[in-house]
Amino acid sequence: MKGMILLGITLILLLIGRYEWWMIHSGRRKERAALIVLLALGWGLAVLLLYFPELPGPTWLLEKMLSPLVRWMEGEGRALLVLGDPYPGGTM
Amino acid sequence: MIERGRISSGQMALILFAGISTTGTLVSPNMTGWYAGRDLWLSVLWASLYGFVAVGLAFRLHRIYPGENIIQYSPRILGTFPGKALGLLFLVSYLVLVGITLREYAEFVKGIFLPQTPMTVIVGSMMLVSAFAVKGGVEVIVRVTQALLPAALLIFLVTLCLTVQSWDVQHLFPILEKGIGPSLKGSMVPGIWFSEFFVITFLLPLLADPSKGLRRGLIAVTSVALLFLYINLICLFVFGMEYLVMVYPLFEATRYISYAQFFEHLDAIMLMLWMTGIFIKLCLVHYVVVLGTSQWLNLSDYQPYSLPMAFLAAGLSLWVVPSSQELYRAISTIFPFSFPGTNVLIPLLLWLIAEWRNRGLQKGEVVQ
Repeated sequence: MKGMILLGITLILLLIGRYEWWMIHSGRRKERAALIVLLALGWGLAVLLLYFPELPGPTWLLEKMLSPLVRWMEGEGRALLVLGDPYPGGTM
Repeated sequence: MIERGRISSGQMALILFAGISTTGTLVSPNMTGWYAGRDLWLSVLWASLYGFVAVGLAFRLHRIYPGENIIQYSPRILGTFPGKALGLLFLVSYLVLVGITLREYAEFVKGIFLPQTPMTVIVGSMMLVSAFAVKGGVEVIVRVTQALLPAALLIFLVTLCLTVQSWDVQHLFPILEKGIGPSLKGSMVPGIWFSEFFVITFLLPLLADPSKGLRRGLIAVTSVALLFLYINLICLFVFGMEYLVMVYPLFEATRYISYAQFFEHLDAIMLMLWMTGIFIKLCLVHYVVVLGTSQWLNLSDYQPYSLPMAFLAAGLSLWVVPSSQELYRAISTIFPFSFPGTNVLIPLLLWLIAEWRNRGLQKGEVVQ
């Protein structure tokens, strides 16, 4: 299953890459390099998330950086902790 | 300049208004309420100060370096390497903002309307549409906004007025029960959205009538403040303090609308309006990221990078927070510091340095 998703991700990115590649004039090497780097970043992130879905994200990093301020805010919002299911009413 | 399109200052105000207020009307009332309680409507007034300061700073910096945005003038203010690093910080923070917006939208749609649909489909389809709009350039985005926003806003405001049958104005009192403190703390949550007004730095260089930029920008801040005030008051009038247990109190309020057992179930209309607004917001912020990245790398064009960047943003939206609870916790505890930090504090320091470096120079001259 994961192999199929990986194949799908690669295909989508190859399609985007192929489509945009011809949009950039062939003399512009830097522009084409930037396109490849961006596609590689997207592919890398997608693959990482596919195999490590629990990977700590940017918010986790921000929380670590701002932890004293976050603790201070959390102390104020007590209602936050009792709120379990974000949508207790169920679905439509 | 790689963006050849030009927009008027009125169009700029319109896109800022739509782009900033949408996600705020969705989630801000109850997160503000966790801190401010009954005084949440006062919090909006304090928070709008962030917006005025952000717009003012962007305008002052643009006056020193006309025709440039923060990605372009920060290397000139701070020197090449620190300036480029600051530019990267802004790009990453706006890319994360695209991810967060997508995630807010996906959690809303998945939580209420499409519980069985995989999140990748919800996120991917919305991002694809926005990426194509961004590929068309800034003029396409403002035209889309002009076509969609007036009708959507009118229906939104009228629908909200229909909740009047369940209003109880007594819920407003007592005002300032515990002093001014809770409303000030609560103001940090809407402050997230008001600090986002700093994206105006990317729109000011594109104006055909730059002299009106500041005034129209401030009008946009004021109108967002009025809209937030309106929705927060409605949440309070309809539910009293009970809005605290609802993630989307405004949406719940519209479910209460019922006239003659016939005119009801307006929540589907609300979803449509929110989708419109979130689409505009995604276009705006995604455009900023794509344009900024091309300028950061000194590329000749930005259009080819819209789709790859959209893929990255969609991946980021799944990565940025692990669950909806974590998303709302982050909005109420982490983002109130990170967004005003990057969008108000850093530009303030940048402006002070720019003024100091350019002291004693004639008007129109700048230090390179």
